[in-house]
Amino acid sequence: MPRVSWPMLVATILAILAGLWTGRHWPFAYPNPTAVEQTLPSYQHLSDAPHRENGNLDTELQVSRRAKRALPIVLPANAWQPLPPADLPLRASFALLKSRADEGDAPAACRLAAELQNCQRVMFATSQGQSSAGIDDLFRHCQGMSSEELGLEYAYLRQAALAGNLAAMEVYISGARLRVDLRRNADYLEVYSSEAARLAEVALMHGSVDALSSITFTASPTGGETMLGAALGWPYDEARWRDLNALQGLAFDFGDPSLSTLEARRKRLANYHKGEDHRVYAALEAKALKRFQMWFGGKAQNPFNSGLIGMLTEVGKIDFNPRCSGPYIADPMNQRRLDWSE
Amino acid sequence: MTSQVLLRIGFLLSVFGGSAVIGNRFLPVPATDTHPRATSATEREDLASAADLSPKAQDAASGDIAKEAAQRFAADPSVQTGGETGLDVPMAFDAEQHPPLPDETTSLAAVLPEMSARAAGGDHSAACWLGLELLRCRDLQASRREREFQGGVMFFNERGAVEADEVERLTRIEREQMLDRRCIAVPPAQSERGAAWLMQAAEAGSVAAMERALSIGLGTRNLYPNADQVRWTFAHRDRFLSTLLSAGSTVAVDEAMAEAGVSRTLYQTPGGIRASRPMAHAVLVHYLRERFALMVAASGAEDQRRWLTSLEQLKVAEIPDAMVAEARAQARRHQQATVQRRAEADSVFSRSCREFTMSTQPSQDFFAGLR
Repeated sequence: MPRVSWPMLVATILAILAGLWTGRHWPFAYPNPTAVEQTLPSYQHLSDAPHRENGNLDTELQVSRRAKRALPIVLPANAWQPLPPADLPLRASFALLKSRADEGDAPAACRLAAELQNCQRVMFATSQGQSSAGIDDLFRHCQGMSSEELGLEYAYLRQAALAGNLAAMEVYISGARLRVDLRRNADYLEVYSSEAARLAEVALMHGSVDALSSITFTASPTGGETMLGAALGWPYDEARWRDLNALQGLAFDFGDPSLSTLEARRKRLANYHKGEDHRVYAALEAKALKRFQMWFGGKAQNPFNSGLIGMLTEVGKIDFNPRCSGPYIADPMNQRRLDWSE
Repeated sequence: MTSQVLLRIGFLLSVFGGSAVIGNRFLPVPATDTHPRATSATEREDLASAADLSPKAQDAASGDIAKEAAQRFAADPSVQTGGETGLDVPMAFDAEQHPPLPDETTSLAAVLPEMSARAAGGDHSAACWLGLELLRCRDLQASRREREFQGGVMFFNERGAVEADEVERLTRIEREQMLDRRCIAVPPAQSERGAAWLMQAAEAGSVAAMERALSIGLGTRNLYPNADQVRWTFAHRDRFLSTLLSAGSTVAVDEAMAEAGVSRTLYQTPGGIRASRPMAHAVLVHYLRERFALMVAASGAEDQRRWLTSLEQLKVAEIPDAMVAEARAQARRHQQATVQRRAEADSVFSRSCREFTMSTQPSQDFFAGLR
């Protein structure tokens, strides 16, 4: 009978509990993704594979996977602080924004996410040899930021989206910012699939043309290509696709003055559906008109003018403060579900 | 350009009115190799030895970054020992064991039991084949709806003619449909197991399996990424990259180029480029110095232009004109050999899965070049 060393036993139990608490070494936290049979290798410890060489950012920042998945803190709107001036270099505003965002200040999280994303784009453009007065200005605006700091973008984007900032929601639901650096953001994969699907519906009901574009593409025969499409996993439904396309036809004016009136857009939509059975088309248009009024308040928008930041050609004069200051949708994850039969 | 515009217009028309659905025409397709590279060790050695490895070129490429990377790798026990990730990976594969593999005309369901037994018994090529084929089935099953839609649409230019890129698109769709037919009767759960086989084969040293993990990963375009598989891929990425570069994989060179680009993106300073990812940068320097000819030679004409443009942009080494000329000559010879090989009645994966490095540890020769 081997002798038991009680101090060693206690230390072992404490070590196991510490491991469970951090969520990093729980051997059964992630089920075997392939459900292999006896002839296949076991990958129970898959999620414990250490990130070597370049994957140690999380360790350095002491951010556990569990902490990443947790819902961010959201302070009540009356506790949010005014945002710093837009032209303040990011290096100078970073500590303040981060501190406020970490305490639950949603506009600070939004501004930080937008700044970090924009700096990544500017760094990339510069590295590709692009240069202009605007890009050079923004390069100076971003100077001094480390890659670890730039890599925090996704966490703050998610925080702003979950707090209900419509522009941040539009960026978040597309999944593009998650996919752009899966190495760093792998721990967010599980939560994105449920959160993005929910936020996409809420954004659509609040008149987001970006959400409408994303959802319409998701409903198309090729829609699974996007992260949102893969997350939703909708079976192809031709009627839903037609409905959403018709809504787009009424809700998008593309900034084109000739499409500024509803009648002009209705005429264009009717032209697309020329030759269809009259009654079928009338029902399609009626549903689109109802949704246009219900979700968009009857106001057409330009789909190229959405999201947190615009096209790269706009750099140099971007002020994120207006979009990060509002509008906010209260508690978007707990809004009523979209009734697709409406 | 015109065809692209028409294609977009056609797509919009099909979206809104369905009037661009012309018909369902497909063309016969020859089998193509999706991983062009030197496929045997002898061939790689021949190509590498033919390169101009002049002292000038070697000196130009050496630097602090390379030394730093070498020191880091020498001090990194994970690189030296491998397999410390906790994965239960059998290392009992026999590198010499590669009996013939089923070709592309075989139904997968018919050979799954035999191939599974072979892989479980230590046949590395069978494990690789299962991984690649089952993942391909999963890809094809997930993209079936899109393929049916795309295959039913045909685009014409303003003269009413079908352009070459349109023929290429339809040819690709027809080939995918042919491959998809091989997956009939393979249950989706079996397709999911492709990832496990691929991980096993890659961990054990299969070149083709490592290349798939490195370049595409274990995911499927139309399916939501599996977080555990993503973590596994990135946890092994650097090890696979260095191993594949040692093995002369052009897929790995492509990835290393991309990594270097990312480094430049994040770390460019007014004073110039400061690579924070010395590993990626150093392997590139080393590769440019000693394996440039191989890299270019194993590429098609279009890829060669891309490589040369990338090299120029990176400016990590001066490539002598003589070396470039020799590389191009090698490329032509290599292309001829590749065409001949493709004529053989052999499947892509049957051929590529025979390559095995015995170990995923980087070779001493490779890192000796960095010191």
